[in-house]
Amino acid sequence: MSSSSNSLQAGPVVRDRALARGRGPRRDGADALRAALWLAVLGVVVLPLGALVWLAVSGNHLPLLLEGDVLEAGVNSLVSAGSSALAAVVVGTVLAVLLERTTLRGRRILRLLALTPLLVPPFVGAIAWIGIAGPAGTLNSTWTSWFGGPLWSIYGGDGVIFLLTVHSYPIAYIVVSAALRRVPTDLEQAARIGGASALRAITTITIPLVRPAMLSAFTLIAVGNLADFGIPSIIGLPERYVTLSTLVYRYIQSGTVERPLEVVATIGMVLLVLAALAVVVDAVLARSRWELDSSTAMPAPVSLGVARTPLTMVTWAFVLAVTVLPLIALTTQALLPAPGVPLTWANLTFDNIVRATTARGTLTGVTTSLTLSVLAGVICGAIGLAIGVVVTRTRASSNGALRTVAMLPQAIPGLVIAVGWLIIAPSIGLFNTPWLILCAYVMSFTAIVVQAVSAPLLATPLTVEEAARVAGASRIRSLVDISMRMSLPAAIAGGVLVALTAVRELTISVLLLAPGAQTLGVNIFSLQQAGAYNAASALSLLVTIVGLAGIGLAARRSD
Amino acid sequence: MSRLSPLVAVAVATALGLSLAACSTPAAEPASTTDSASETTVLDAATITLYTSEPQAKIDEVVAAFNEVQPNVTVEVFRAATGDLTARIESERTTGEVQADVLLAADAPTFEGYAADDLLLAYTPTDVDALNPDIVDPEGFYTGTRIIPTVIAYNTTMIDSPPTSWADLTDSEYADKITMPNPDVSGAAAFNAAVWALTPELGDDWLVDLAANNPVILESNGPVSQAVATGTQPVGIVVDYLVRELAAAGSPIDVAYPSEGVPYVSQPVGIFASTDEAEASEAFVDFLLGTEGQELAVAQSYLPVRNDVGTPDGAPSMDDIVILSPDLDEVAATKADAVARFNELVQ
Amino acid sequence: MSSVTLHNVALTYPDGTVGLDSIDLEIADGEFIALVGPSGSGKTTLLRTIAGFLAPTTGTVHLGDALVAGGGTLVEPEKRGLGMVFQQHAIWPHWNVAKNVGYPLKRAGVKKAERAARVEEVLETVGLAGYGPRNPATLSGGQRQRVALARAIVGRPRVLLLDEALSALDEPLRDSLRLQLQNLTRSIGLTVIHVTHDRSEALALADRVVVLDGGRILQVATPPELVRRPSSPAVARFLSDATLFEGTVEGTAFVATGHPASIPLTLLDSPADMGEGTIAVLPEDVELVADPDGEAEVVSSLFGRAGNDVVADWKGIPVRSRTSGRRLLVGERVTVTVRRALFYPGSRVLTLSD
Repeated sequence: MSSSSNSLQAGPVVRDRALARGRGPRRDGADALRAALWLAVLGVVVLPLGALVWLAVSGNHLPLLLEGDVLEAGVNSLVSAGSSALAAVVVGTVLAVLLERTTLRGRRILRLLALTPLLVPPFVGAIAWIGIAGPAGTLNSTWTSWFGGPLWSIYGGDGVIFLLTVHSYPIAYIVVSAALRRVPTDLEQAARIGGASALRAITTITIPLVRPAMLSAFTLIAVGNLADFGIPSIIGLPERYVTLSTLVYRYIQSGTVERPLEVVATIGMVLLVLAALAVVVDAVLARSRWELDSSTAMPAPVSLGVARTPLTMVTWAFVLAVTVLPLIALTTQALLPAPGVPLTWANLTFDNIVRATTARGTLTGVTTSLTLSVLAGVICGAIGLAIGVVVTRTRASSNGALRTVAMLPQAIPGLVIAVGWLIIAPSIGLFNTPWLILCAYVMSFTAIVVQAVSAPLLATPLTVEEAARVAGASRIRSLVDISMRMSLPAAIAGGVLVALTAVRELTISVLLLAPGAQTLGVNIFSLQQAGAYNAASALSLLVTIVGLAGIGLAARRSD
Repeated sequence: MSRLSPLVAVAVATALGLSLAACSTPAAEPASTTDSASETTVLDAATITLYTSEPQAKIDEVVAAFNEVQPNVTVEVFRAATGDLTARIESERTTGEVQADVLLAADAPTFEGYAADDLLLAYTPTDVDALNPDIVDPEGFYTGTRIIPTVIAYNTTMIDSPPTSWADLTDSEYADKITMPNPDVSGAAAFNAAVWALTPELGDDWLVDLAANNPVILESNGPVSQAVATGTQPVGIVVDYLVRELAAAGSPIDVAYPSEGVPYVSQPVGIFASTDEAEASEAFVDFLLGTEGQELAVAQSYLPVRNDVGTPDGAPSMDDIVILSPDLDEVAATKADAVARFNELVQ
Repeated sequence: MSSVTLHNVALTYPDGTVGLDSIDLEIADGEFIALVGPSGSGKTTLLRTIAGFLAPTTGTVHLGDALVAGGGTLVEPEKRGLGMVFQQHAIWPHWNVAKNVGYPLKRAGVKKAERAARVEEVLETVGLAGYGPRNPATLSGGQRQRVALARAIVGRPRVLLLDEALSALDEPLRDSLRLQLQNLTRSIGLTVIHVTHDRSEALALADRVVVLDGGRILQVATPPELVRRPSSPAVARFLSDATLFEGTVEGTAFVATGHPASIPLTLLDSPADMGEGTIAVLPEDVELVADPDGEAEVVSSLFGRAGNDVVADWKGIPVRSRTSGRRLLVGERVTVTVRRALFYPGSRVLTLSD
């Protein structure tokens, strides 16, 4: 028997404003804030998406979708996204089990190492892997010198799937290992007492229990990979492997179709529908999630027995190959003065790195990227904080909708977002300006802050605001003084995450390019496209190091 | 997280180094300080938008050098391959006005097309008399800024006896070994397709035979030169300055001038009639064609359009090589068809 | 300090559920009132209606002479001048103790110097002198609840509302805080409305106790009266664990239906009309005597300071008894003797779910 003021759902929801006889409900500051937030969200999220859908529907280019180019690109997109998501979930799950539940040697270091692909932007990873497995890369040149022909060129569809997997398995690892930690050990132990071996207990009890997590990781990764631009353009195009994202880029950049915006809007809408479908499927399957009571016991690691050493070696080899090797490749490419120059100590030079650093284009790129990401971090932080607070701490029937609309862009491929903004850009006078990119960033990343802020807020009872109300604060004042101030640390953390994500982003900034204001990602991409691989590697290396440092510092402070 | 602290230290040091380097003045090639023949007046503050297919690093140097002469004029650069540039201009035309003030792109026929549509402003550069007359438009709508021949490049470690003519490339020994740029993207490649089609010794037959050797089509000249240098495709058809630059940096790549002659593009510069900043745009054109601008071009490995600035190291003089110079009007007329035919055969 | 008057207050939720029904209550200035009842009885609903977080569908609420709800008016909680302590203290974690306690004064526009003085004063009153700069995370549960109390009274409120304020604390702490609470509120003459599900606490502290069920007031009375003369079988059972028998008054005795219990009229402590009804027998009025031939069997026997709490199953009806003497053992057969019973005419028994 608890006081209902202790819980958030005090039975049926009652509006806490009077529906006094005759008069309508009174408006107060909190309602004004909610209205303002709705306006912001409508302008930033609904408007571009709406324009996209409207343009797609009114243009009636659906028959075009069934034509060769688009159909082939669509199939490629689906195949690459689906296969990479599947592979990523498999790899992530195996790693999660090995690193969380077994006696593998060096688990703690591996846990950190395994996550590094998350810190490297995918297109940088692509550039690095070209140095390893590209036609002239180390792997193939050594193989050629031994056997007379290349082993495997990373260019092409298989390379795209490989790289997408490498860059998404950490997400699967994080999701599945979190789920593994929530499975109470009692369940496994009950199986062990009942006669099952350790391995059997894991495979028949634990893994089925984390299936929902595996499924939602799959959906998350598939939707994300569906519209990735960097990897398919760098790895796929040289072998004419076209995906929807690179097709859209071509259409917009070189106008090989009439009315490119309408065609692109149609493609965007298809992607949107696919993403929505994935989210719905995920939500439906989530309903059948089991309730797991928490257990306090730490799981005893499963002994690997004789398999321990070989498994350890294999896992270490895999993780190192996937995380450290590309960085080494990037470094060597960056330190060589020109392509075709053999890798010897005498040939290494810092010229590329110096030139990359001091080039005017880099300066513009750095300035633009920093300005846009810091601004995005601040704006998303403010809006996300307000939305998170209003949605979790006030009662209104529209709150659920507000939250959904704010979180919607998470499920939408960056490509679609960029296209939406491209469509409305001329009407709002932002065409060809970097502020267009900022708007797209705000739309895409506010959800990060809303999520960061909502989690701790949902765990706090409403009585903290009620205490302020009784103490004399109006509704809006209690929200500002209490809820917003309490969530400020979470909002700042969210804002930092937004800035870090924005600074390494490529898809949106390459489509919304403005003269004289490219971002760092576009810089690197252009260098790569122009064939200046050494310069591209040099810049990528710098970006990676600074990015790793940033996240390392942020992680340190949260310890 | 102590394991990350050495990494953090390295990264912080790198970031500091980055910012220190960035704070220092950009290391642009300094323009030589020989006296220019004409005195230029310093203009008031203005901003011009430049659309160009020049590689980013090179155009940055040009703009930096320009700003030493005209410090108040800001040049906003939009860099893309010629094919992409024309598409962008096209879409800007249909939805409103062309946003660029100055265009510096691969080949004359492109400019001829715009001139025919009355999109360009007629302007005669100050130093026009010192320029190579072949590259000056008689109507004054555009002027070439560099001579960029397309040559045969080959990897010196993999090929002992290089091909010496276009006809050699049809030899079966070069099957699957050739790479060339995409005419949809590279303006020079498109121009060349038309020139080859119009050259009597080559023409459609030669193109068919070349296609039989399965050349690998890469997006633009940059990737082509890289592929040849790394040996992925030991033979390439590519612009000459890239080969010179890579060779100077140590790549195992060299040039072979085909005996039939080389097509060349002149990378013209033109001013759009819709510009609001005619004076500043004209100053930029004058700079490109003046001694400072041309000396910079030479330093960037280009063949210049005037004789009083020397030539890049390792480059032959214009008199030593055979040049294919078909009628530009004919080239302009047949370019689209030539590109279509090329795509049909090769891609 | 002021009185609280509720007149015919009713609250219906949008989906039709009844929150409060015909509530008429007059609380005098300075009175300590306890609201008691099982879960869902409406006691918290009533408290939150007085606080202003819920609006009554009909009826009026007055604080002193001021109308705060009803008749087209609804005064916001922040303007009612109340103090409230919640079950989970609701101390704000991002401010120290002094800022927490001083917040009502800040909202009221009190100047900084006076604020600091009053905060220190009230902290001393609750026994937390000098705790101003402390971080709430470093305080124990009891200390935090005292900080909440300090925050509630620093603004000199008209009425102090306690929403199960002691329920989250452990027993010894609850006990000592209870005493402090009574001392404090009586010494400054504060009107207090205390919601609790602990019957003994309600009976112990309050001047009057309000028993609620299903949104209705079942009885308002002083504790002794509530215990001796519950107004309905339901109140008797909820408050005192009385045993209920249904039956009829026939002739000189009350005879239970389908049960051997039979109580002479002389032992019935209420007007006994002829007819059907229910009798409630308080545990104190039941005597259990060990008897090998007894009709009842002891099912549980708990030791208590004021008397053993024994439940004996008497032909299917569990009879609750609290008597001193030898503690009976589980399984023993006993004879049940009723000393006194309360008779309520009428056939339906309002059940107070427990």
